[in-house]
Amino acid sequence: MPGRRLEKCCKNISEMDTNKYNSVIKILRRSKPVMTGTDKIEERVLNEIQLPRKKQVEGFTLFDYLFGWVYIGWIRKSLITVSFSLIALFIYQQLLILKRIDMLENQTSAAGGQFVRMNQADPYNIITTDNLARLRLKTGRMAFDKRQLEEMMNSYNEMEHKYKDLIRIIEDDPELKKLLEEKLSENNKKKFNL
Amino acid sequence: MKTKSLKLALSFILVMIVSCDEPETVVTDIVHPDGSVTRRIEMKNIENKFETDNIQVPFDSTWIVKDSLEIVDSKDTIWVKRAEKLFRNVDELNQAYVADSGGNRGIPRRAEFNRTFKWFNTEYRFAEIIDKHIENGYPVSDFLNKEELKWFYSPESVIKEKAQGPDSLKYKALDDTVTNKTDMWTFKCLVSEWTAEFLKLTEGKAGNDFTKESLKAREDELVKLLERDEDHLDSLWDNGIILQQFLGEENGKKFRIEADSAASIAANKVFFNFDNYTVRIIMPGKLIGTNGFADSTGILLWPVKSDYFISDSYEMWAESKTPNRWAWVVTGIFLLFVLAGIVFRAVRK
Repeated sequence: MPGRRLEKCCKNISEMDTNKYNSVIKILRRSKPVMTGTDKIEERVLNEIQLPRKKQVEGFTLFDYLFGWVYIGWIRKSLITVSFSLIALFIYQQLLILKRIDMLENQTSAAGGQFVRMNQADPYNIITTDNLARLRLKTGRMAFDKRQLEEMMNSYNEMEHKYKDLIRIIEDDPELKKLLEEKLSENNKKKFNL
Repeated sequence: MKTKSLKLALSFILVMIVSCDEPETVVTDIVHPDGSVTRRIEMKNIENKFETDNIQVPFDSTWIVKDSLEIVDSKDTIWVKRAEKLFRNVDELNQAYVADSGGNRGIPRRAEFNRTFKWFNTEYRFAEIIDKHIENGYPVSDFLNKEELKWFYSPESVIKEKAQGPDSLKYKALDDTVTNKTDMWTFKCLVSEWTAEFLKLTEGKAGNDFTKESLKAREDELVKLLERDEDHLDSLWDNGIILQQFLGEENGKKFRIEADSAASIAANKVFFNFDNYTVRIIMPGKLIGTNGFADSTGILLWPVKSDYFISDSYEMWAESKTPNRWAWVVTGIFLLFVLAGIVFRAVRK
């Protein structure tokens, strides 16, 4: 019996709570909140929704901007034609130049000897700014003709021989030796004073 | 009018030519890509005597000059004058030629420079041209074959070297042949010029029935007469015998004065005074063509002798090229761009 009473009591209490709850909800529904900054919220929501799409559209525009021409037939064909023309022009020009250089080399070998000799006898004419550039001194390389090299070696040997002769002449002549020593010491003094 | 024999006139002119005091001169034109030309002149003489009147190319006080005394291979001392001047363009160089008061004044010479843009390369062409001296001559190529022409235009030192080296006999024979043939060519030019001058002088005169065609057709005949009587040319011409044989007795006597005057004018035109020199050209970039002599370092050389421009213009030309690096890069980028576009289209499909 007491159990039944308790059960009835609890039932009454829950009914009362439910009623309270319902009445609170009713009151809340009736009193709507006052919204401030609705535009901002709307914009934010829209931005969040549209962001992934925008990113996709931007990527497509860049490539489309660069290579859009591939979808226009006449531009595509024109650019391909220009490319082939440039390649053909390059090949043609290089072949022509190679042919002309080849002809020139044959011409050079027929008359090369003369000029080497002329140059050797005339250092002023070899050592010009343009010639130095031609000889590729800047890159540490120098083009030498075999004959030119031989003549240089002969010239060096001749100079060495003359130098020895000169030393011998000086050694054999005490007066000349004395005179030269005096001159040399004078020169040294001048250098020291400077 | 004072009569003068052909040979006497020639002898006088030749004596005048050899008696000049001109230095041995080498002219070097360094051509720059912008068309300016640095000209260097190297003059060698046994005396320190370099009169502007004797120098073969235009030279004045505006040049940077350096004198030196040097010992040559033969142990002799020689005076060397080196001069240098920058010409802003070939027009300035040509003006100098026009105003030349040197040993070769009056000889029409000029320089030409062309720069051609060819996308991958820029090509340069520089030429020194000496115009022909007579209008009525024959080209030397009508008398010499290819090998003989090469010999004819070769520098003196090449001729000497070959004549003293291996196959010297062959080259001596070639030299003789070229000398004989060029003598004949000179004779032919002389006769041709004489014919033209004679026609001019006799034009409109009574009893003149000569025409250009009739005299031109008989030029070989006159050459043969002159050759046949070469040893007695002086006396035979002076006595009017050659002329009478050629024109007939009556015409020979009638137009004697005109014939002598024409001979003198023709001889002066063919055997003109010219001091030889050497031209060298250094081009910008890589050398791709020339009609001169070139060595492995690309220095070009031409001898300049009066024989070379009697009846033909003498053009010393050289061509070179420099690569346009920027054009290569632009072309590379363009080709890559087109290729990428084609690949992009294929991927999208």
